[in-house]
Amino acid sequence: MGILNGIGIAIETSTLDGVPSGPAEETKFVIEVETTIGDLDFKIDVGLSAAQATAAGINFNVDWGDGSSDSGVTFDITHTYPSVDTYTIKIDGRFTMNGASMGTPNTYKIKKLKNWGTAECEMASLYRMFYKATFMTYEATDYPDVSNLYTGTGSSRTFGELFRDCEAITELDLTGWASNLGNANGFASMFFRCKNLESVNVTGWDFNVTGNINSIFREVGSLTTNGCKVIAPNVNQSNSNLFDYIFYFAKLHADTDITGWTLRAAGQRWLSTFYGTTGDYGANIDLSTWTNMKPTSLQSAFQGANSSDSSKVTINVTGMDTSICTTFQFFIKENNALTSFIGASGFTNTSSTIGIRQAFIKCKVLNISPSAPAANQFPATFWSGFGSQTVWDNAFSSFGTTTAYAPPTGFDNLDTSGGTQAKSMFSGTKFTSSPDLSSLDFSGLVAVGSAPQVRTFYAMFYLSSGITNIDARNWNFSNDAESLEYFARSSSIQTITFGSGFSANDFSGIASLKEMVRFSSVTSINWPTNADFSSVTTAQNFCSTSDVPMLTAQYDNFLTRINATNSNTGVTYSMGSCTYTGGGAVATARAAIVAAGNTIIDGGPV
Amino acid sequence: MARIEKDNPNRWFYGKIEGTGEDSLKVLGYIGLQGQTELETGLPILVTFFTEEELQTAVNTIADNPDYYKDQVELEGDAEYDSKFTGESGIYQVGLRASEIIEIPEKS
Repeated sequence: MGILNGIGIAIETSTLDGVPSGPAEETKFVIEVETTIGDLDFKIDVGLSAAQATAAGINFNVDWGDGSSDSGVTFDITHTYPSVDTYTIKIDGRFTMNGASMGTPNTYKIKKLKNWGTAECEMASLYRMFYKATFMTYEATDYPDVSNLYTGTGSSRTFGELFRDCEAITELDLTGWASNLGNANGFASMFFRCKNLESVNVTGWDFNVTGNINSIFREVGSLTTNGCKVIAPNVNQSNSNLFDYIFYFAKLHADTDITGWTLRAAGQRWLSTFYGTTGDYGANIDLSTWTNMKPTSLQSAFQGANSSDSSKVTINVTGMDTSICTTFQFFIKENNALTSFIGASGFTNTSSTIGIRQAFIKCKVLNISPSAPAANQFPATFWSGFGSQTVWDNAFSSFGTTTAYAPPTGFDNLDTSGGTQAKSMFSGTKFTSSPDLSSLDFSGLVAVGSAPQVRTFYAMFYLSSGITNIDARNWNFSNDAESLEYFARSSSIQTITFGSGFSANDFSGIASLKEMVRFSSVTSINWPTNADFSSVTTAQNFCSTSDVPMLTAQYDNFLTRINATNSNTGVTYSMGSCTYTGGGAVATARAAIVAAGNTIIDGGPV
Repeated sequence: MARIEKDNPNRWFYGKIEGTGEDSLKVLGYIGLQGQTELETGLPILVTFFTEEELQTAVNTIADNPDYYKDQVELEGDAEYDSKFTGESGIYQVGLRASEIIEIPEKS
């Protein structure tokens, strides 16, 4: 046991048997602070109102480490140091402080947490205690006394944001806390942005509290080389309906252990839960040992990182029950390297489901086609369960871009009947064969009416490959269809049929045919004989100059309908080398279009 | 009505209305190979050229902007830029500076 010498420094003594012991065991809460030039103050802010501080029983003694001290402190207190130096502050009593309330002029001064002082310092709250103690390292080996956390505010009983933005902490072995969590009732954002954290161990912790653990490991290890080793097996979260941002942009070490988690049986929201997660474990997320995975939302749950080209490789959600999931939008978006999504074969999808927007965008190598292993396939019924989905924008953009696969089983039954917006839906999509899209239903479209590139039907199949035939005869789109600009540009599409004779498809809202089939393989476009092109203001570069995207009869019909329905002037129709029937009604119609002040480039009469 | 016949060797053109400045230009570019395509316009002024360079010089003069033609070509296809260029170019890359549209900007 150590004793204090005359100047307050612990010195070693010897035990009776001659074996030296360590310094005296610290029994108080101890932090080290460093003052700076021009700022010699350090403020402890308890983060409570005066009345709350009284109710919480705040009453602590503080040794400032410069020879001065205060006792019986019941509220905020500021101490001014004599000079720029490093000081050790020791506190006992009933205490709390709140880094967010203290502000960075104070939290940046905290350099070390040396001891929690279990025996002498009773914590009234840990909420945000070290919030933005960005330069603080962690040396404590004991645990805080949280046996009597203040219950007067919504957050005072939580460990919420306890170490938020503590970027200098590299290791947290908190297993010693496991049996001493007192009356804590929430752990949200506890390690949020501990970016240099290389390991955190909360084995044995009881997270089954009334609060949630949202964002608990958010961004941990994101600045480390190998990621953060999160050791958190058998977490029990069976009370929380929220399961959001848990590993959002966390970089997880290969040895991460998050096996055996138990979630709320009635369901839980998975908003961005593994969004942007990286590292060796982040690349192979295996949740197959989890119980009660029953998301009410999978929005962005496994979304990749926007800037990364090597996002998650494997995701295993075997056992997940999606029967009450209301949205899948963005859920595996931008996983450029994702090859396997295991467990989707058990997915159910009901007509109440909403949200598939951008769900599969940039899943460049994901094989969910009939050729994929059964566990990696989505059930056929999955695709027909989006009847209430409104926004289909980019739903399958860049899907299979690197490696093309056959369309998924059941894809022909894609239910778009509730769709109000559908731009760029298949842009960049790559299939080995053409899916049957004849049953798509766009009767519920709503005009967007904004910038050209957000208009409905804009770039629908731009850059797609493998899709060769668009049978749109029964799409039933209304006059809220706004644009066919870029519709099939640079695609492998060969034939487009909007109508054969009379059609219910309403073209009267279509303003642009610009670049519609340019650089594509289109050789046949059937427009309905009742097509109303009254809103068209441009068909510039409809196709390349040498292309013939319409047969003569089809182009005849196009010119006839333009003349019959469009009275605009100054429109440029760049129709490549399409030819029309000369010397008759079509030639007359074409001449009338030109006479109205428009320009036509085509292959001339035949 | 003015026209460029299929056999006309002048394949480069601009169409404009009366007046000066870039607003008077309504369409410009290349109509395709001789013998394959033709152009007919209701615009009051149609001027044709044998080379793209000649067209470039002419429209830059009208627009009083030495980069006008280049901009029209390289921004062709940009949804936010109302390019008047049609056809192909042998001088500049069509759409080079047009914004990438495969991923529609959108908050997630």
